[in-house]
Amino acid sequence: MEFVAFDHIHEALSFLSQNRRQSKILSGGTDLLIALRKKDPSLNSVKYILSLNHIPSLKNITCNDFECVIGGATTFKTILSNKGIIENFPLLADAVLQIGSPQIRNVATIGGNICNLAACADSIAPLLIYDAKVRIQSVDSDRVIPLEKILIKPYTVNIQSHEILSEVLLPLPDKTGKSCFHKLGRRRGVSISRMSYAIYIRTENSTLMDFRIALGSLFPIPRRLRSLENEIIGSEVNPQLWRDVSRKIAHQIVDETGIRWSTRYKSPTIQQLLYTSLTQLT
Amino acid sequence: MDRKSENVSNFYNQMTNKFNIVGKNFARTDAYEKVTGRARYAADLTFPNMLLAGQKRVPTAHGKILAINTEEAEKLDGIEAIITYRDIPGKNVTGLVQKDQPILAFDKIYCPADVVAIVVGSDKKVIDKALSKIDIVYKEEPILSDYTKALDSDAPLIHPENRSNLVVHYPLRKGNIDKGFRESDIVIERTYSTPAIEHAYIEPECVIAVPDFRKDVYKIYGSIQNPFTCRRIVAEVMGLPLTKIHVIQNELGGSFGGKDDTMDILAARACVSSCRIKKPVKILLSREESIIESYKRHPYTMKYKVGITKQGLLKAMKIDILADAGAYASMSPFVTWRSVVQATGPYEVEHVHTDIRAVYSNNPYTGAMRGFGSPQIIFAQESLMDELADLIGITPLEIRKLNGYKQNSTTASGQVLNQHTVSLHEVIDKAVLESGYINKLKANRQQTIDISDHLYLDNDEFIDGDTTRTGIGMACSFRGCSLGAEGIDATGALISVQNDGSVYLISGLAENGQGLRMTFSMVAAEVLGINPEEIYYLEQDTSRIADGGPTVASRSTLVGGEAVKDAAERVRSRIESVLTSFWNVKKSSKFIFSNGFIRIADSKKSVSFSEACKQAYLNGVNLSAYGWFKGPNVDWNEEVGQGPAYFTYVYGCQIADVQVDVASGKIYVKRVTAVHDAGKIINPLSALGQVYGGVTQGAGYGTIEEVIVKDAVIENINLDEYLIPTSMDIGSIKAFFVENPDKFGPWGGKSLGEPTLEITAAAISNAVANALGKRFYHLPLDLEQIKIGKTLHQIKGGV
Repeated sequence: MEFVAFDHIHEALSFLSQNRRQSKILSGGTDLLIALRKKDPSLNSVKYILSLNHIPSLKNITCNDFECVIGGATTFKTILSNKGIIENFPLLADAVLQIGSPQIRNVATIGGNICNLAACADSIAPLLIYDAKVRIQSVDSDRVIPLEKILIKPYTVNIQSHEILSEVLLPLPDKTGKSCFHKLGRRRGVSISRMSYAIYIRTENSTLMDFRIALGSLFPIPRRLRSLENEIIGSEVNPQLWRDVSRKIAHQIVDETGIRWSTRYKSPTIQQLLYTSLTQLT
Repeated sequence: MDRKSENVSNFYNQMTNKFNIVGKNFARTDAYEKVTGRARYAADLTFPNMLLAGQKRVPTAHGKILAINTEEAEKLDGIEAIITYRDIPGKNVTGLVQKDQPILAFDKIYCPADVVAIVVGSDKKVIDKALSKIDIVYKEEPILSDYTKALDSDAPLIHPENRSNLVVHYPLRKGNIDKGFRESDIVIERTYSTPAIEHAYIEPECVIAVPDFRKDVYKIYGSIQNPFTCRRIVAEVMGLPLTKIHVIQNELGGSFGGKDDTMDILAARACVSSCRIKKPVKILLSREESIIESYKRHPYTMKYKVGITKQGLLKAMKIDILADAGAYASMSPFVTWRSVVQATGPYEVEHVHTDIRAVYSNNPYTGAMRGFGSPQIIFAQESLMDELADLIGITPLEIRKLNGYKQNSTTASGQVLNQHTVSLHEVIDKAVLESGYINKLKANRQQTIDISDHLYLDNDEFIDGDTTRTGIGMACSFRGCSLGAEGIDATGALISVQNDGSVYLISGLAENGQGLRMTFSMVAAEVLGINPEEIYYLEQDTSRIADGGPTVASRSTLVGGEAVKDAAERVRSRIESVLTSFWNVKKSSKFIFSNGFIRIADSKKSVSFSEACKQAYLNGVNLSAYGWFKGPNVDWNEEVGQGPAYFTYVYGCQIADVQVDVASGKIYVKRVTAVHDAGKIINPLSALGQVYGGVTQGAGYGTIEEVIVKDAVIENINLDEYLIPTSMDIGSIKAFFVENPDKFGPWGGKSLGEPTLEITAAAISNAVANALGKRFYHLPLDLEQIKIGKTLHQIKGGV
């Protein structure tokens, strides 16, 4: 196995196009290094570790009147020190602040978190709430698609082996709503999510105008619950609505993932946590 | 000449509160090197021609070894040797109490930690390849993982030669248990259980064996807790006299009792390997190997039956405890002995009937860990006290004040506590005052809460509003200092003052990260009136100082400090003699040693310490001295568990303020008020460190830590899954010291390391019960335990 690194994304893309399926991208590397140490079988056919850590254009955040664009290899540390993100995307800032430890946040990147696609990837639920898009580049293509579209299954994103996730695009949100991010771990520091969720709510005269909810560590991959959202938008906001919503979500989790070893704990817990957050927000 | 003059002893009696050094804050001798990364650990060391070793294990917890085939592995380029039990020159089977643990497995696999062969080479990749090519033929045997079934008649026998899985049984009988229950108004029975936990020292095990140019001489460098125990084991395994094995201790990145047997065995394996190939051999464990190979804290199952009067007086306690020793006896006989002595807690009970048994299983073996058989029983006792108080309608404080040890109380083993200050009530009162216990306890009881564990919540099962509840809980303990009737309790110290007044110091006990080097330097500096920072504390080497026993049982300050004080006083007395003739003054003159000068009270005569040492040198006076301390005799009657178990005791009380989120079952320890009477505090800075570390470790034991063992195999073998608390997981720790005098210990300095840890989990558990109005009987109080009342990983894969 060989380690390669470039200064420009074009060099990286052309290397990838020549070494398809033999390369594994390193962006930050806090998950990849562990997989390497554990000799994960998914790395058996890998000949090259291609690092994005040295490509300056992938490590920037720029904000304009419409959106913020985060380079794919931007570290969580950089994200947390960006005013544009903190002011406009508080859910993302909240979630990122709770990822790992300062040491991990100094190294781990947003693109790495997305592409590794663990069930407990904490940055994804907030990104889904903000309708984030991602820019996927290769030598001969360049597309921008909703983040939701590339999340396939655990540890698998819909990005080809010659492509790079170069940017995360966040449209500036309506700021009249209220939002919260909640993460539950076994401890406060250096903690892996047992469950997490991000919620955005906008009401007018106690009618639900906008409602978005995304969950982490409860489905095989982080997930936005669009059909539930659509079902209840327009409803009258009251505690009974939130009891029903919390219970419905628990049903959906159990229906889709089955009764797992943790369900006995997770199901009553997520219902109460959601109910508490939802009633606090409205 | 070598005897301490009357002067010296009088001197201290007069100046109880007038210390120059003792009681002031001094940073540890190794602080600067450790925070700047300059300290050298065993893993940093390298020697010419040094080779690395890998260890071959077999993926079974119990099996008969039929053949060990190493031929294929030996053929690989870059492999120097493959070591098996056949290469061991001396004894292969070791053990501190029972000889039951092979250095290299030869007939049986007793647990998954067992190592069958060592591969020695220069390249880790080649070593790994060779390990995979070693073929061990074995026949699986039935696995015993549920230790509560170890004494069943159909249980597989781990060490069949013993004809039983019983490692040890300690009975204790006091009074008449049946009479005690008859005289009780209320009798309750409760069962408590606690998990195996991992020491989780930050530095994994590392050892290097270096053959010396002298025949049959080996130097062992490593992360070794007890150099003398290590030397004894290595010498036995090598079949060599003790003098041929030099054990040199490197800086320790944590031990907490955990770098004893494991390190001794690794050292022996490295030494056997280096003997065979005549080159230095290093064994460095990965974190995963460290967790697999090292011993754990004993899981306990504890049945308590307690009788009490309506007025709240304890009458009878019947205690039946089972401890999982795992595959080897190791320290189980000592760990469980401490438990039998302290099993009633610091309470006077007329009628006591205790049985504690340690049993073999195929689980990871269990041994010494900070606390040593006390955190388990304290969780049981202290939970019981709170529950009994509730039953008879008094407060947890009142039940402790009614029954807690006072001066001249008699312990369960019949020892009358009249040789030291029994300060249980004092530490409890202080903790209650500093924590605001009484008011908080009552206020928290107003909270009511029902936690639903239904898969889907009914409408009325949702909790409106804030889901957090606060709780406060106390726990207290008494703890026998040092080894007690476990074994010989003596240690030495060597001080060597040079003719310029600079000083070398070493003791028979070893720095384990607790800060002993500075504490001992301060003791010597107090006696000699010099700056402790200028004392050069020598590298721990078994050839430099006499065997002072193990650095365990919170005994360093007490017994080691006494030995250091004795050594320093011997030197001081010689310097006084020199000055008596130099100044031509009366022999009864009172000398004052302080700030680097020596003077005579009410006189203008004064000389610098270094000048005095030069005078001594010029007069041919020896300023090097050996100090020694031997603990007084203690006694134990094995048949009935009676006797004065320890020569002195310490007392502590901790009160925990917790916040419990009933939505998730998550506990946050907001504050721990810790009050300890460890006698005279020599270095307050180190003492605070002990409290902060002990409380945090105790909180981990209470809330998150558990070595998950399934069919005798550990499932959480790295620190991503075996969780310990981070600095963010505990709020404030408020430490208070009560300093009662004691005739033992340097100026009455006693034990603190373990007392700080042993009571925290119990205090947290009582606080959680106060918050929720519901009690828990199993540690750790993790999310699932609080929320649904059970530990989920035990039913992994099921409902």
